[in-house]
Amino acid sequence: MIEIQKLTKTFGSLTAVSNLDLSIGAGDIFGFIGPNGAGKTTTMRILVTLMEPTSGAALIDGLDVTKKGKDVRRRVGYMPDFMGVYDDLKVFEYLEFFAAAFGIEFRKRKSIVDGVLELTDLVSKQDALVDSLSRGMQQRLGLARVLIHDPKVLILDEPASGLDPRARIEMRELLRELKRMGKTIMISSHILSELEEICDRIGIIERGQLVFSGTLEEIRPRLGIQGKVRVKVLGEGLRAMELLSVLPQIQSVEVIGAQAAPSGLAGEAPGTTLLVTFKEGQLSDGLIARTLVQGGVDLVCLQPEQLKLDDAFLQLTQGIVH
Amino acid sequence: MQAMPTFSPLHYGLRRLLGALSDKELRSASRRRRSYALRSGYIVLLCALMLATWYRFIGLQNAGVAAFGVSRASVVSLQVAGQVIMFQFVAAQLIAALMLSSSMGDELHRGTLGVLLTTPITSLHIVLGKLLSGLLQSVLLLAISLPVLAILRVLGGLAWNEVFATFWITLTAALFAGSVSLLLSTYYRHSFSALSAGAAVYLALFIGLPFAASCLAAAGVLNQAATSAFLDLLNPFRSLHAVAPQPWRPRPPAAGAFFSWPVHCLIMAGAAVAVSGAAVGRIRRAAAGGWLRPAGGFRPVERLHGSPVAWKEDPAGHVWRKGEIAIAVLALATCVLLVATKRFRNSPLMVYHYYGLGSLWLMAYLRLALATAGGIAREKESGAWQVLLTTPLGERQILWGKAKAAWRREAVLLLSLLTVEMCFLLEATDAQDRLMVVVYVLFRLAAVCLLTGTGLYFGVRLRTTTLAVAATLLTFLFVNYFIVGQHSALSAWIFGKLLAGYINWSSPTVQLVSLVWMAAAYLLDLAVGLVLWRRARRNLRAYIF
Repeated sequence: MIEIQKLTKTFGSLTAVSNLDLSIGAGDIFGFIGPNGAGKTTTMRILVTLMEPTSGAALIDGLDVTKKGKDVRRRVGYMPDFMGVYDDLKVFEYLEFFAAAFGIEFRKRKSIVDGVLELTDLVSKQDALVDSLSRGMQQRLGLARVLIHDPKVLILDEPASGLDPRARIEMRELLRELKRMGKTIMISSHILSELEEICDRIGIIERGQLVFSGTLEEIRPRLGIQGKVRVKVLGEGLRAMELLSVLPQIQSVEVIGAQAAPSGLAGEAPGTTLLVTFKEGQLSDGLIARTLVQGGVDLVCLQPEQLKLDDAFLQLTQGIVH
Repeated sequence: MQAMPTFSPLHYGLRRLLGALSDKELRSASRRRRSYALRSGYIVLLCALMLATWYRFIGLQNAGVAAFGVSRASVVSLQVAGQVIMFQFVAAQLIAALMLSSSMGDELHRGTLGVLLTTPITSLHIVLGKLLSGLLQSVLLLAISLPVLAILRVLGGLAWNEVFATFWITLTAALFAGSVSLLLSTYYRHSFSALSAGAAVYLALFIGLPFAASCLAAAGVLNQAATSAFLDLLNPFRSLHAVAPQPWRPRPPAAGAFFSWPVHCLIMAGAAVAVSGAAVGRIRRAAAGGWLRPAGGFRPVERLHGSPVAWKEDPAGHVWRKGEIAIAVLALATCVLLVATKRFRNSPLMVYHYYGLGSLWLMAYLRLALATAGGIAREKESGAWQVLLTTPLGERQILWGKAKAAWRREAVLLLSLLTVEMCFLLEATDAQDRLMVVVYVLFRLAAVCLLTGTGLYFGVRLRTTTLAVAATLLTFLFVNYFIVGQHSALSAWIFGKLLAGYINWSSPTVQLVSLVWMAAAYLLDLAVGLVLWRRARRNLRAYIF
């Protein structure tokens, strides 16, 4: 649905986006992450026809954004990071204005506006002036506006910024609902845990270049966390280390946490956490459990190493900005 | 060993009074690009004005005789000085008002007002800082004109005390205009509303009240001499007339025996201090959201019909507002008064009509500039422009919608003014000059077109409302009055060439040439407006951020 080929955008001597290649399939939620000034917003602005690329091409639904701007705009809903509102319009009027701007006929407008108001839970606010809404409500209104012309593609730049936890959860649910409706969504956010829960694929950009693009599963080998298991045992864990390190499938065993003495309060049992790294293609949780239990070690829990998008972000980017 | 800083009680006292904000404002004001653009524009306008005046009084009549120019140097010097003084008087007030009209709205929009108020910086510091930075521009512009006046002084016809007095009258008038604008910016979030309210206050104070007082004096209710003296002291326009050389006509009633320009300056400065004091008291309330809201909050939801862009600018526009009804009624009453009574013809009170009309046209032009240039620049400032441009609305639809909305918004004021002006011209001109009335209608229509095109162009081209509106007004004045306008240097030069050798200026040939040229000049005005409109369309998506 979105194809970006060798996209470059320069501002004088500054290269904001450099030879970016990206492909997002129909119905995907694509998380676009990167440090401030990495080129996320510039890429999004090019996609929504607000900027012309210096070179390269960007296509949405097969349409070149530089040549078929008007058609692209009909297919895309864009929510910028800082959404300006018209302060002397009411919520209903604001949405009707955009409905008219997208060429929706007068007789259909009311039902469409009512529909998006309901979807974004803004029915009770339809008579309020737009600038009297809270930040969270304004973000919701922005999303309602984006949906007014039923676009195939949604490009959302930091839609959850400034929202309280409840509003963020609601926003997440709304995005899931939109995915069920078949929308293709490109979303950028600094709240990486948000993306982790809703994105099918992610792209990490730094200094205008794509550092990584793929599914969360595909990122594991890049980060070196594939084939790692956390093991918590009672006691100091020396016996467990001895038993595991001699196994031919295991590459290394290291202590990553220890709780020396019981605190006396109800909670975790005292013990040691080990990080067991298997050789490539040899991962087996059962082998660890069997070996430790047969060796007389008190096994508390066993957990494959989790991918944290925050960690991936930090590991893949250096925090260098233009 | 480090040198001990020299302690100066005056410096220390000033720093305590003005605070850190004044420091910051003065520093940033001198760095802003708009300050440089403003000064450049001012110098260009000033040069064009001097050139135009020179051509009108020497170039047009010398018929190639150099001695003629030399012999009339002092007369022309007086004329140029009069124009420069009047120009700087209007420009200084306009710029001070424009600069300060968005001072509080901008702080709130950027979210810095609340932050400032959580620091030890007081409301007094905020007001002084804003006032000083706004006035700095006006003072610098006045300083630019001073050498010009000094040179004119050497040519003769102008006295030092006139230069000195007009400088102080202009400065205190700018101080007052700036403080009124600053106070109003604590009531209105948008510079458009603050400036409109400021213009209304100015009209009421300096045109309406004197007119009413003069009428009462003429009717014998008030003492004529005392009223006149009182008005001279309170009114900067009258004070300027009283002390400046008089190249313009008609002249107001002569200044009374009690007139003293330093007293007038003290009164204006005192009034500015009082208004600024009121602004100090308003700052915290404005920061807490105590703005005057448009009546929009209480109106029902309006459904959209027609062009979405035009509708958005004023959703309740089809309902006439009270202010517009008042303007229309006032205009109608003035027309009836002018036509029915004929009492004001050749009366000294007629000067208020000139001023009133002139000021109202200036206000209408300012409002139109704010509606066209500000309509786009404001959206850029708020971040809504990029959202609008992601809709399938075409460039033509957006610009046409903006222009339509601006015209619709100002229609009542513009049409009322045009009607009154027509009545006034028909009353004041003789039968053979009635054709001039048609030319005048063309002049106003061309001006509106030029202003709309210029406003749209600078709205698209520039990022901030103040800069876009200032650039629009400066370009409008430059094009309309100095390139293709009736009194432009170019017009004077062409007249000089075309009519060289004609002695009888009231001959039908001269009249015809003059009419044709003026009509052509206004058509050129119209063309410039359309060209800029077209440029705005081409650049609509080039300067979004």
